[in-house]
Amino acid sequence: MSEAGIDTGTDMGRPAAVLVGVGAAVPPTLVTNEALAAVLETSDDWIRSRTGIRQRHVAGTGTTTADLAVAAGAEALRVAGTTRVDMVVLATTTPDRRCPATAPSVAARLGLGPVPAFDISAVCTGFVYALGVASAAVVAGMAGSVLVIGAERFTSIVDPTDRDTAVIFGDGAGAVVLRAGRSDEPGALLGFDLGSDGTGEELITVPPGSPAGGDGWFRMDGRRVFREAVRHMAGSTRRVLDHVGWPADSVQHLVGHQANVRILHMLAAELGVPEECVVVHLDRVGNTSAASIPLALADLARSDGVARDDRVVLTAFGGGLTWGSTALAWPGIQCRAG
Amino acid sequence: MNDVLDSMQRFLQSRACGFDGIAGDGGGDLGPDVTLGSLDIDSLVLVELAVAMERQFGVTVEAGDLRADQTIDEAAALVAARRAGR
Repeated sequence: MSEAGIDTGTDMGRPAAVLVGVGAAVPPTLVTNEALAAVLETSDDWIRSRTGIRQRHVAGTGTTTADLAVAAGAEALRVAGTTRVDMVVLATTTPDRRCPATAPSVAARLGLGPVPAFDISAVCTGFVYALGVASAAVVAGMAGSVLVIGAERFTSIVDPTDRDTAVIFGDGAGAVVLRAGRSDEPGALLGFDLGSDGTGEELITVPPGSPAGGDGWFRMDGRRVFREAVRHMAGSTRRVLDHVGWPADSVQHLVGHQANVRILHMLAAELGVPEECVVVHLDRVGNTSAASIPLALADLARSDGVARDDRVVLTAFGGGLTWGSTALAWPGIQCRAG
Repeated sequence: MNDVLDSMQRFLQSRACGFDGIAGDGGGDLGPDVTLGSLDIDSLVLVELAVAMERQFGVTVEAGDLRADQTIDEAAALVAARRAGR
């Protein structure tokens, strides 16, 4: 600390939000590529070669986004060793109702009391946006701890007869617990890069006002989305790495939005991050939009492939257009299924 | 121009399994007059090619700039012209 009492960042670091728990939930119904090929004009080979996806989990009509969020949130709280937080932030594109938000219901079902709870909508970037907002609340002293969830029933907005989109998306939820700490602790979120470009809103959209009265099905311009995803995740990651002071080739786990394995490999090549450092989870769950990064983090935490202090970068791109990135040294949390 | 053409041919060679008329020869000699659409590649390869050209030559190449009806030579000329115009 300086004489004026201002933290100079030279001793114990600066105030930061620290990741202390992670959890995940997917609905039990598994849909393989072969099962899709039985009802759509597609094949396992076509889907795997173009996306890297082998299977996805799909919520039935009896499972809500809140159900998935509660399950993932409960695990994250258990791993963090706590039963209370000061705030709940839930990223979703598929809330259970247009009004109210899904987060208050999730907070109530988790027994968290009258904490502030709200949704964030930034499509596939939603979880990183939510982490940014939660981190800011912690650093500002507004909350000592926050439960951050990404949860989707994305298949509810995808046309099941459209082979271009129906093969890509799945349902699920992932969650993390952040608490107030210092930037020199493993798990501290070390910086954020968040951005948007609304001129690209038509690239990824649920068009409003279909003739039937409700919204139409989700649609996207796959080739342009591929191009913009690589461009914006690479730019955003570079800005975060510059801020943190890490060379790209020192990143040990690149956790990109799990949309398409070929996007992730092009991103790694663009950044100069070794391909073996790319975290791939989409093969088992498909693209789960706002849930994809916390689901991949939970999978990483369950694996033997990550160690305390490993350098981890999270980067996402989605509808809006939106993008966002953050970096942390792995906190060494262990997460076991069950 | 030649370095762009060489780089483009190498990238396509790494992705192609053969192309119309010379099936199964592992891509063979991807001559400059071969159209991108005749190669045995899926549609995402042209987007990946755009990303690779942008990274290597520092030019902006959009997803729709490289098209199936272009020859490899025409596609390379487009990238080379962008580079010359910087």
